[in-house]
Formats: sequence, structure tokens, C-alpha cells
Amino acid sequence: MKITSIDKNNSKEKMKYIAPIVQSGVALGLTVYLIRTGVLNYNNLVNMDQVKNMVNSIPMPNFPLIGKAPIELSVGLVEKIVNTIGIQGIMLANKSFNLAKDISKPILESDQVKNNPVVCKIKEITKGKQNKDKEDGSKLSSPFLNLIRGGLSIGAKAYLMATNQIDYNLTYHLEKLPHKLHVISDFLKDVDLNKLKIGMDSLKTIKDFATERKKEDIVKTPKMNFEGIIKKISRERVLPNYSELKSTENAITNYRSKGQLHEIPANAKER
Amino acid sequence: MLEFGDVITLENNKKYIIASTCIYKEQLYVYLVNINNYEDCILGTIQKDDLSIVQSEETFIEVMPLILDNVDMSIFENGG
Repeated sequence: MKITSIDKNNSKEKMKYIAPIVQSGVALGLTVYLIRTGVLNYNNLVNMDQVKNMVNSIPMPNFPLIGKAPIELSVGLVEKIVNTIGIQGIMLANKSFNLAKDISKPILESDQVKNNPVVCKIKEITKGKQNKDKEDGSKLSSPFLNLIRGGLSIGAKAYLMATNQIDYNLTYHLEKLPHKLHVISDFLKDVDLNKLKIGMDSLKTIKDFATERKKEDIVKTPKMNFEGIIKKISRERVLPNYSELKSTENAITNYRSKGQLHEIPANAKER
Repeated sequence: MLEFGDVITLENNKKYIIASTCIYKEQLYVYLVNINNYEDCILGTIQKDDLSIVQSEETFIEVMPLILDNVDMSIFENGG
């Protein structure tokens, strides 16, 4: 097909088109993930239990902020993409994304998520930043930016998991293309350590809801190595309290090895 | 040289923004998103003023991760 014109845009003008790029970013990440993990398999029909497990294991840290729209758009995108591949692919893609919509809908609409103090805190922080940006008057609205960052972050994370650069414990394999970590850390760079912990807690909350609902179906439950993630991010940003964390960790290890640190029994009562 | 954020118009008058690009086997691949219809996305190659849509499953599977890999995050620095 012939290209009749090309318009070069500067950075500011590019931002006008960010919405389609965000949403396609999410769809792209999900599509790649499903292809790489074999859910979109055009030679064999995959049973729906496997599809459910795969969809449940996709980390969606920004569900409260992003919403269902990217998943709905993904259906259209995957349909168009797999049109080049076959009827089975289309059927499977439709089934898997309809399933993703079904799974996400009650979670997003549940009172537990809406009223969860951690989710509310994130919304409060986001709203505060929105008001600040409005006062500044010089930047795009924060929900839009959050959507952008979130969409690309989800797509990037899905891709990183699908290509085994991070595993289900969210342990980063830095020896593989280490600059990829910046895709995630860029998203988090505005967030200080306390907010990061809030974000991680909310992630765990959402995962727990999905786990409760699909406990019997989950073959492989993603484990969240929160402390490890916080330490890695701290190391990347050289926060002043990292050395304290490290020396404490070293002290504990030291005492344990000498048998001088006794674990407190789980049933011990507080004084 | 084509890059992220450029808008191309095709002979059917549809406008697409370049969401990402990559070089694979010495060919330039682009991921295009219709600026008026987000579901209309194209993975294709561009040579001179000709856009060819990727038809091969194998190529698609190889190129899509590279495309996602190359998403330009620099515009989000300094708050966007």
C-alpha cells in the first residue's frame, strides 16, 4: 500500500497521540505474552483450564487505574493479528480475552477493591498529583500520564515475563539486557519508597482476590518478592536508607549464623 | 528516517501514528496505530513509500517482541 505523506512531529505534538499508543501497548504486551507462553497456539487447541491459569498469572498491577478498556481493545487487536494465522487462533484469542474480561470485571467492581484502603490511597495520591498539575498548567493531566505509563508498563512487564527476563517471583535477570529494567523503573521513578510499598501492597491485594476466586485452578501462583523489589529499586536510586537496610540485613545474617538470633515462635504473645 | 510519533497517511487516506519500529533482518518494521480507531493496528515493513503488512506467522512472532522492546519511553521523562 502506498504511503502518500509523512508528518514529522516534535515531542509535544507526539503526546497528542499517546492514547492509542498506550492502549495498543497493553494489547501488544498481552498478545506477545500469550503467543510466547503458547496460549495462542495455532496447531493445538488449548484447554480452557490452561487458558484460565495463564490469564490469571498475567500481572496487572494497575488494574484500579487502567480499567477494562485495554483488555477490550486487545480483543480487536488480537483478532486482526491472528487473522493472518487461522480460525483456531481467532477462536482461542476471543475465548481467552473474553475470559480475561470476565475475570477482571467482578474484581474491579467489587466493594473490596473499591473500598480497599490501599487502593483508595493510590487514588488519593493520583488525585493530589492531578490537582498539582492543574495548578502548574503546563503539563498534560496526570491520569492521562498514568494511563500512558501504566499501559506501557503492563505491556513491558508482560513482555519481560514472556521472554524470561523476569520470572514469576519478579526477580530481575539483570544479566539479560539489563537496560530493560529501566522500562519498569521509569514508570516508578516518580514514586518514593513509601508510595512504592503502597503500590506493591495493592498489587498483592488484587492478586489475593484473584487467588481466592480461582484457588483450585491456579497451578502456578506468582510469588511477589516485595522486599527484594524494594531493595533493588532502592539500589537503583541510591536512596539514603539503603545502606541501613543492608547493614541490618548483614547483622541478622551474622547473628543467625552464630546461633545468636532466636526466631520468635508464631504463637508468642505480645507483652 | 521514520521514528516514533511520525504520522503517515496511506493511499486510502487513513492516518496512522508510528508507535514503534525495529530493524529485523535488515528490514525496517513499523507498528502503526490508526489515530482515529485504536483497534486498527498494523505491523508492516516500509520500503521507500511502500507499506507491506506482515503476513507470516513466524515473522510476526519474531518481530513483535522487538517492536515492544523498542517503545520509546524518553518522552515520559521530566513528567512528559
